[in-house]
Amino acid sequence: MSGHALEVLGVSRRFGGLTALDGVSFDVARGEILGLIGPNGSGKTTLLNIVCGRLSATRGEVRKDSKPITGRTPEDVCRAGVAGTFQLVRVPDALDARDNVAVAAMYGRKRLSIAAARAEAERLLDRVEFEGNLYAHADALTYFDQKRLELARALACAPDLLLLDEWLAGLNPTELEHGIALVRSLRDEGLTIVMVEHVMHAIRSLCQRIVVLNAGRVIAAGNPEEALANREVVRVYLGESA
Amino acid sequence: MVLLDFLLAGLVVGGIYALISIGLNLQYGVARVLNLAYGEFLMLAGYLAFWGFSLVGLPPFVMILIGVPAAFAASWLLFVYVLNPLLARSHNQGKREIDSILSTFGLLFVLQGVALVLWTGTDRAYSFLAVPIDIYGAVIGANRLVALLAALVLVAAVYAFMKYSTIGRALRSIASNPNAAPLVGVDVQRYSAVAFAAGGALAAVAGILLSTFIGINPTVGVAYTMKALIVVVMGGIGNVLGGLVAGLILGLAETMGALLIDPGLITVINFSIFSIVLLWRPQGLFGGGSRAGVGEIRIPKEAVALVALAALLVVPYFANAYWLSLMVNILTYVALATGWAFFSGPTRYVSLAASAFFGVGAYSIAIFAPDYSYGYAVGIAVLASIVLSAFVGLATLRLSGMYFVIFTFGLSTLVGEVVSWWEFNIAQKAGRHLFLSITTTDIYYQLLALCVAVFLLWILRDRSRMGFALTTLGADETVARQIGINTTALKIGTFVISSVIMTLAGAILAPRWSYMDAHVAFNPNTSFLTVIMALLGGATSVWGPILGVVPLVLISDYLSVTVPNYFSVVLGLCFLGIVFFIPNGILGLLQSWAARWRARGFPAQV
Repeated sequence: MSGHALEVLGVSRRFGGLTALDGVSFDVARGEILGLIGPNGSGKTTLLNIVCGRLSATRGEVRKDSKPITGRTPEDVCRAGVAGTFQLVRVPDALDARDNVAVAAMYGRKRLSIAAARAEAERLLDRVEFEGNLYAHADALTYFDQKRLELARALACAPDLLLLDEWLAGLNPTELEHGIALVRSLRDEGLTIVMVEHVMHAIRSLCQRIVVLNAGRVIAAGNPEEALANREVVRVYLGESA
Repeated sequence: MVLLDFLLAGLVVGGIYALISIGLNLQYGVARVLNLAYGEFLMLAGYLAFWGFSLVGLPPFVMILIGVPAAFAASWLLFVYVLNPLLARSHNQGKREIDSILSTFGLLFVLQGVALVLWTGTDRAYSFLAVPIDIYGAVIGANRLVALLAALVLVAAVYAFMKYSTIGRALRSIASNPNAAPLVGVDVQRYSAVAFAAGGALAAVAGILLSTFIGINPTVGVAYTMKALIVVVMGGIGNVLGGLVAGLILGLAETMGALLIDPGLITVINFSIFSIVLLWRPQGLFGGGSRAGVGEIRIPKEAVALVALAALLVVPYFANAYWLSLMVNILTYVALATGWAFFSGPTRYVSLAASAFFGVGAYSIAIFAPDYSYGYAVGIAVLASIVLSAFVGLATLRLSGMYFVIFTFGLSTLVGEVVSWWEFNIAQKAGRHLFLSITTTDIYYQLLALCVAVFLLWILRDRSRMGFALTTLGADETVARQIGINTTALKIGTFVISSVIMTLAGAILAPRWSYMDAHVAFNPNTSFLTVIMALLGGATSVWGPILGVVPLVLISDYLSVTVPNYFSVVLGLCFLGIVFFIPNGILGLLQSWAARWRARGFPAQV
């Protein structure tokens, strides 16, 4: 298929007097992994929140497969095929690990029955190499398993665009290699992925292209080596004198 | 000149609203307590002024010197020794809000009950500065003018205090971020107590000012709490000037409505303004934050339920009139409390409007059953309840839980007043006589059928996809929406079902009364009892509410015979006791005992 999986067109967002995003534009090709990087407070999470409908844009538009999704509710955006993980893990304690994933299969794009959703949840937890007990609640899971559970929950919505907000942050070196391989295998299955990440090793090994944000504006875009060598990018990351 | 008359009257009312809203704003914005008993402080201060004037001859200004420190001290003690210890145990903001609502709801009934016992229900008024003053042709009582000026001066003083003084800055820092305030050296506990006490003191001033031109009675406070809440929402939490503007707008709108439409419809006008504000401002001021997880509760054996049902089926053959009527009472509250918990249990939105929906059911029967058939009347009741609950849901459930609580808090009064107004002005009746050939035994079986239907509906829901969606929603609404759950539709749908259940309970019970008026049908005690019973039992499981209903119906039956005058005081205290000592309900208590008992069998490993 040709065309863009996601187009971000001149998106701005203000919080009172603070401009968090200022005319951000870029697009994501189908089947690619796009890295979204930038210093803390540069607007990365705000942008992801706008794409998935948790926040509205002050100006600009977001299109998925050429159809506008800005201004729609998060549940609508989910059904349009966008799913994601949260920057800070959010797994409700009220359900066990399997059911947390199963609910997403019941209500995302698939609308499965309870039994089918549970089977799907087991398949997906297996797919993300979840190691914990299927019937355990979030507080009894390791951090990596909580993250994998969130990923399985996002996949259970049957998205074709996956948003990962620092999904690899806080993992130890072994876990990080597993995580990177997992994200790559999801791309190989045809998913389009946008990942916000501070782990440069992951960015370099996974992303064909990156977009660098600073203070709400795009300051560089392109393949990781070039974009990271950009004077402006070096300046915002390392300081003025560089 | 009529226009100036009306403007002055509106400004007096609006000035008082602004004043009380600022007090409530301090309590909610800084101390994080949504004080539903706020108006009761105003009521008590009004009585103080009345007794001071009529017994000792002290003018209201002197009473302010006594009443304000007293209210400050009383509120401070209430916060430091009662509310704060209770709220400190709530591990998150959502639980804290629910606990503060529930405990002050109990306090409301205690204070009202005390006032009723001590001073009876009569309006207490005295004549102070009741001389007309002419302002460019408009005539206004000197007492009202003084009240307006005092209110405006106080609002200005509070504004300046909040803006420029050190304490004011500390209070604002807590209001804006209670977690960050201690990092810059603000003693949150101490200043929260100060804010709460200051709020109580402002209520006292308002009460004393009001007492110079209106009669004070034990139930005068609730209406002012409601108006203060509306003004706070309109003006913005923590916004003194917003409160002033919103208070004046509400006061003027009320006066204009009373002048142009009908004085009996002031509550309707208030609520219309409130609804417009809610529909127009799409997000809550505190956002939709996450709520605490609900512990998983297993359903006990169905066999027990079947045996109990069989026993219940034969009750009318053995019970005498007294026991049968007691059983009808119990089943009514089982239906109400279970219906209430059907929505409020999993979603954790506290509805205080059980009596509105119960009343819609009961009163529809009273109006329509005599002329048409009983079944037709039930149909109308259900339809009315669907429309009403869907409207309440649409106006408030998209927003954070606070708006829902405030709206439902006033809804019972609103619906009751509309019905009263209609009966008096349009139908020209005080009430309705009901002569239906429906026996107590019929009512008993209908209620039993309703309860069984509600139980089956609940169990079916928990085993369906909807149960999973509700659990996720109750635990984390953001997550629920992100995985494709249309939470607004889910909340409104569940709320409508819950309301229809409560309406059916009212419709079924109605034939027991031979005469009914709006005060009987829309008695606020119904809301109160429904909530306590569901919470006492445990609102998150289908079996919970029953555990609360049975003991409380027996207790309230006993109390209403032995100490009818102290009924609401004692029930209010029960309510507070439940919130304090059984926060997870009897079912939660049983489960934690069971867990402890099981744990003893498996000694902890070393």
